[in-house]
Amino acid sequence: MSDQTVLLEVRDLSAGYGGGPVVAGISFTLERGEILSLVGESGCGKSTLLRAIMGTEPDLCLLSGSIRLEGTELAALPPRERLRFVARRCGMVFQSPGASFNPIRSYRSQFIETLKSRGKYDKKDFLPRAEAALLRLGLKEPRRVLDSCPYELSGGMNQRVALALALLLGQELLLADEPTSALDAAIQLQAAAELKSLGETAGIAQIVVTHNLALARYLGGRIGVMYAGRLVELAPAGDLLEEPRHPYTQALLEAIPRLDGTMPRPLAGQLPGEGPALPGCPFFPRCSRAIPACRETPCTLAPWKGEHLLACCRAGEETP
Amino acid sequence: MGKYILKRMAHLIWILLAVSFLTFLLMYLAPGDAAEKKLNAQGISVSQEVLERTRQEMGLDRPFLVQYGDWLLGVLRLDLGSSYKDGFPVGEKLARGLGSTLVLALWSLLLSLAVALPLSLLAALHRDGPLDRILRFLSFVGNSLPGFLLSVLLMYLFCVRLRLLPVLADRSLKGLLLPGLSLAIPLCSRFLRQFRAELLEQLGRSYVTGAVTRGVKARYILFRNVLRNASISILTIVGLSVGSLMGGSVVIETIFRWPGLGKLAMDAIRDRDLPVIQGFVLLTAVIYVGINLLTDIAYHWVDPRVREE
Ligand SMILES: Nc1ncnc2c1ncn2[C@@H]1O[C@H](COP(=O)(O)OP(=O)(O)OP(=O)(O)O)[C@@H](O)[C@H]1O
Ligand SMILES: [Mg+2]
Repeated sequence: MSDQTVLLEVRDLSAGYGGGPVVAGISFTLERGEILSLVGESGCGKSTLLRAIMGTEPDLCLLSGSIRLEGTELAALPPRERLRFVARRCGMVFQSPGASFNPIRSYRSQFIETLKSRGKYDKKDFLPRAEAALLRLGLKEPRRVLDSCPYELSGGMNQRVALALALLLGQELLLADEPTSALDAAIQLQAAAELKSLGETAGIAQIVVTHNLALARYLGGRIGVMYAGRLVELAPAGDLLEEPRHPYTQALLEAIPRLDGTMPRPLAGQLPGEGPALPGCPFFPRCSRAIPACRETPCTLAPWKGEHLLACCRAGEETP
Repeated sequence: MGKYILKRMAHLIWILLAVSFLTFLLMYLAPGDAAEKKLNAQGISVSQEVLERTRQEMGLDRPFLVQYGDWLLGVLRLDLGSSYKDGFPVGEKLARGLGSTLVLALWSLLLSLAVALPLSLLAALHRDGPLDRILRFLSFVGNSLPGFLLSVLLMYLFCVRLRLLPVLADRSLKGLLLPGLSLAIPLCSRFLRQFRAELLEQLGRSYVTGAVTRGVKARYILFRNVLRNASISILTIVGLSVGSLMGGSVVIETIFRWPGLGKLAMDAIRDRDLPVIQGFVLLTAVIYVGINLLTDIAYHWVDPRVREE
């Protein structure tokens, strides 16, 4: 499986914060330059999955499974080496990007020390490159932004600065946790265009967590739907949005507010709380199409049609 | 910033007025008589008549407020008066004592910082490791030993048992060693604990995770980020410690007969030497407020968020 096009391969990954698994049985592969969008309710473990891949959260431990980055098994590396290995190839934009920078130092000095640490700092080159990256993300006064500290900028500005640094670093893989959540519509489009071109022109693969299905569709690539720590459906963006197969995905799509005024249908019930997981489908208690067998039969992500993967034991049946 | 400093200075005036009035009042109410002490010290046998005359000469028979007002007027003319005991100008006595105390206090402060900063960093980086445990135990011990006990122990060890150092401190490097250690050991122990806690707090912040994720070198994370952010609290801790340092030096100076402000004050209290006591109190208040002001200015310099307010 370790051919040159596969960048990241996650097999049966489970991870948690000391208690039970927060994400479980996650499997997917990501090719170079490919974009994977992750969607799902708040608290379903999207950020946790990114952190598990990145491996920088001290509290988060891998319980089982494997993560291969460029063919190297990360779980087998000693922590320090793993950190160095991943940080070289993989950048992350956090959910609250301002908090991932030192609040009382200027972005300029933090950019410089990051680039220096990675051996990518060139004194002459730095300013024009940094300004260009910030401008591309719609920050009109790049010089002023560089001289500001994170605490002086708004959430949306911090978000774009973090993305700009990711552009500057130009790694093989970018993990972006809701990178556009604090941006208004026009700027969101600009940032999304940057992300998309990152994949198309620079060949940078991305995993983008978002609550915004329109963004996921725009980015193209594939969409993975997570529910209660599991991937329940994974398919090319168009297929998934036009022909959602998993009852949860269908419910998620129906819950989106539309501009035409039709009222969205919110999803009833809540995410399962902590405690021993059910042996069967995690969505069982809220599922409108559940049958008694769903309670007992574990369902794993399996091909439904071509590239469309699905974890539902009623996959074969037609939607009513 | 300039306006801020001026405001603090205005505060200082009120503080000085209140402090000096209170000590004057306390000394006035306290038993004991400066005139009697003075005559005793000169070896004159005291008759009631002589005592009365001396009291009159010293102005001690006047009402309290008049005495205080007189002293205050003197201070406004930058004249702190002269010692009841030996007639030396108070300003001169204080200046000499301050010099000695500063030497002692600075030396112990530097010693404590030089030991506590690197060790607390190591302890925080290797949390719960062997070094951290040892340091935690040592700083617990150092913290619980009172300064006077510590100085007696040190004296016994170095002067009596090992005969390495003289019992009474002179102002040589050798003489500085024991009083310096007696002040520095408790201070350093406290620094160790407080610095470690602050460094651990900073190491747990999300900007550290962020920097690690970006692949920033550990050296940069530690020195340019963690230490820099921690220095805000460290400055406060050091600033606040100056108070206890000055207080501790009163005891230590008396034990080692170090000719500093602390010893001067103790002697003056024993002799009911009011002008010297008053001078000491004023000077101490100025030092306290001054250090606080310096700490604040240092904040402004380190933390841009404070700078803007
Ligand atoms: N540092 C942590 N320690 C312990 N539990 C955590 C930690 N971070 C997250 N969790 C728990 O893990 C679960 C998944 O959280 P996670 O942040 O991955 O969700 P998410 O899908 O990113 O949600 P959101 O859309 O709100 O960002 C939650 O139940 C949360 O309480
Ligand atoms: Mg999240």
